[in-house]
Amino acid sequence: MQVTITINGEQVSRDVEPRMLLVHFIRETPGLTGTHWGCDTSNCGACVVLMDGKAVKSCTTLAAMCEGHEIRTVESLEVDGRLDPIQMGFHEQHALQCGFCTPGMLMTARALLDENPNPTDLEIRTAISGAICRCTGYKNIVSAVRWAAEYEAAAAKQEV
Amino acid sequence: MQTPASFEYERATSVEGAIASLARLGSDARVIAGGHSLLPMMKLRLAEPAHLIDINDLEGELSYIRDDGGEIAIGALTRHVDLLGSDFLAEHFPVFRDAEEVIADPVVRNRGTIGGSLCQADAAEDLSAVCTAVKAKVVIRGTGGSRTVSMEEFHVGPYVTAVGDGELLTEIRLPLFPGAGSAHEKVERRAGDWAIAAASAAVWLDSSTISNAGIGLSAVGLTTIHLTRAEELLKGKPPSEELFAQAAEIASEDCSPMADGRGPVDYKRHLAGVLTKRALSRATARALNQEA
Amino acid sequence: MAVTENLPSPQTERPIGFGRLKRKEDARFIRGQGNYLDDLRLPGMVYGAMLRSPYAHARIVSIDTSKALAHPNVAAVITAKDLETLGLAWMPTISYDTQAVLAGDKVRFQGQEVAFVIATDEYSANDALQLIDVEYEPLPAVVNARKALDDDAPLIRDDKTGQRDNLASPLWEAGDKEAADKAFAEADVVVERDIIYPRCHPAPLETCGMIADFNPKTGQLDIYNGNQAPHAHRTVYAHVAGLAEHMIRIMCNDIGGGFGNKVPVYPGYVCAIAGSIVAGVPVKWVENRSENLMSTGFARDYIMRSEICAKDGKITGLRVDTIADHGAFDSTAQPTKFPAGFFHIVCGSYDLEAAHVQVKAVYTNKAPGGVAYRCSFRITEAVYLVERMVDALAREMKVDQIDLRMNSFIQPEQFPYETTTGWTYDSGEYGKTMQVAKDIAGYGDLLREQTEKRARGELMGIGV
Repeated sequence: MQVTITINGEQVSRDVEPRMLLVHFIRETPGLTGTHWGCDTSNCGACVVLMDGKAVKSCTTLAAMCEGHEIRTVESLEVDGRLDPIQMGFHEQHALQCGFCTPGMLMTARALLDENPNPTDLEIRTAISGAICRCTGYKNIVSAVRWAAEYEAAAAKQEV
Repeated sequence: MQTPASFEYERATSVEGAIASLARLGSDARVIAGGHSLLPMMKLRLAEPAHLIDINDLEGELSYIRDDGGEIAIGALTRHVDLLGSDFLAEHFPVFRDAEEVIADPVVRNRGTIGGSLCQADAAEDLSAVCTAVKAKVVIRGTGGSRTVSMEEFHVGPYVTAVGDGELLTEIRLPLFPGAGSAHEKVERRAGDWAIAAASAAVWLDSSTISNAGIGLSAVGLTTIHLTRAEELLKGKPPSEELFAQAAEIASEDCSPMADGRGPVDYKRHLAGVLTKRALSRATARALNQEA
Repeated sequence: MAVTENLPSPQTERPIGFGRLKRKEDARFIRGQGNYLDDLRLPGMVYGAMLRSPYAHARIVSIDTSKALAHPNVAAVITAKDLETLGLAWMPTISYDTQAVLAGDKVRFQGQEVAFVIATDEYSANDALQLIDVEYEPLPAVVNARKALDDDAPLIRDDKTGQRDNLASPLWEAGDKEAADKAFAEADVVVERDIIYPRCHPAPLETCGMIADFNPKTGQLDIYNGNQAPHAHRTVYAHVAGLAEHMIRIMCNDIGGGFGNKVPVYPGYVCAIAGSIVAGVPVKWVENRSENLMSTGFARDYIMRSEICAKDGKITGLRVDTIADHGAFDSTAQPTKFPAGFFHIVCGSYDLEAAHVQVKAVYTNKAPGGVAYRCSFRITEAVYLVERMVDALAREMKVDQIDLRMNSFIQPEQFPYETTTGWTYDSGEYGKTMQVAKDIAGYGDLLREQTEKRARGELMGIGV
């Protein structure tokens, strides 16, 4: 069946089987291998993308379900050479080692800050509880999100 | 990653249309909403439906939490995240918020629905116990019209509900009576996991006695355990820790847990008792407005 | 990148280098531009999937691949019979054992590789697995390492000539048994414990996999995979595929975690290589998470019976008898033949009179291994053992767990110190270090807190 999904603002249209999972649809799109997969049971969160602004597990979503919806992947964070503050935060706070969980974490964090610009540590930890990291022990991921929240708050003040 | 077997797919544009398709396709068809119970089973090839009917576009008709004349009506397509976030629901039945906080994880909760959870009918599913405790009734619609059933009638067995071929679960209705308090207690191996055991309790207090009580247990039987014997014990009595301890003993006796990777039988029975007692205590404190 | 700031003085909070150098690799990872194995697509690439045994121990009566071969998207189905003609049915392990690439006569662990499907896409490859019919004759299985050497235990490695039991290696010993027995005979206190370190799994977030790309025109084999030991793998593949080493290139680009799990050579790799050699196109095989947990290199699984003794308030002797569970094939990722890490430091920081340690490796009907999870080579097992035993001894002697250690430490003047298991420690100030640790932790306050809590019926332990 023909499936058309808006990914990072662009229409991507392909003929796929109904059972094609969103994560595979994304990863087979040129330039979009940043979204990963790591489990069989919807636990690990390496596949998290945004659907209409909400974090979803793309391994547990059919591509066909996403027609008519907006999907954002990690590749959408950097705009015109400018990194998203959440990306800067991960770099500043050493929130990644192997980098495999990083796209899922970044998108989860982006959705959190879009909804809750000033989350507590507990709120950050709860928000990222749908994604697993085997390298960092999470502490620096939490401080990276905090860093990004503070950066965005300061930037907002400056604009006003 | 594991991948599902092939199936035919259609997107429902109305509840009527979904039901018509279900009726036409019969037992080969399954409804898919959030898909976070069904798709994992399909990826592991534990479920291989030939047809999927996607009802995600029906949020207008099926996603709501509203006051409906003496009852709260919840649309079957209401997402877990919305149940968690509903202050209206939490005010009347905080047990839902308790349970949602420990169901899966926030990302899964963005997609999963109450209808999907109830219809998957895994014995360890939390909302089934919650609905049992709060005396919920569910509305099932077919080509011939709607029917309303109790949670006992709804739970037929493991992964089997009263929703038949050609039918769709459309609504969950919670009766509103004064003096209500409710709570959910769960023990799991890790955050977001299925329960090793969980207990949902609701009490309705009439001045200083329990006029009605509802207790449902997760993960300690082939399906949700409805502790009718404990409910009978509680009715008409003033609440007390001793009374709850007696109810806890009944919980340990009346459940039928199986040993598995989550724990042995004696541990699960023990948990059933302890969690029942805690849920009753918290539910009562809430009914008395003593808990913050 | 030159560091131009002044180096911090010893008084500053952060150690040198902390926070001043940012990682270079972040640039691609935070943009989702990492180059992990599954991201790579080569022209003409086909996909492999592995059929695995549901039984822990069973004879293979027959394998019928006809329905899978009839699938329109399936290019090939490989079984042990096919590999035998290429001399690839068995491969050497890093620990001088052999491992079945695909099971021929029987399966020896649940999850063992039985057949390899190659198809035009991943979904079809997974579908084809369900179309392969294998008839098994289940056999009794042994999954408890303590029962592996019982007289009536089923023989697992009947493929090895002369193998009459489930012993996987000769007995390894270190130390001096006579001296140890003497120390125990003269001791004031003896404590015995079973110290069990269960099997666990490194579970990197990226599972194992490979693209094997053999160019039949040039004879060059290009391999892409997340790999912690590419040079060792190249030697194994050269040996197994009959290629010269310089004709094999292994490219490990980005790796989504290893932790030891990406050290062993897995049957999926060999099948992908065989598939590519035979078909002349790139073959990609990536395992799913269930396969990773069920069949790839596990860590630990040591069952240690230990005794420790003391005389006049000082630890004097240690005896350890270990059963090491290696699963159905010994594919331990250990560069030395014997569990070096275990022997060399099992005496810990203590000036023992004598010690005797022995390790028996056994086969069981479980996944083969193990690996050095977080680079342990059995050091974690040894450390866990000795410190648990010291704690148990302190409790038995009713002395403080740190005081017992302080009394038993190797003293500064004893360095360089040769342990009774034959390792030389070059230097150390253990007593001083422990005192610093006590001070930083506020050990005295912790003890007071513990006493108060215990009086109230609250549980509190202090780990040293």
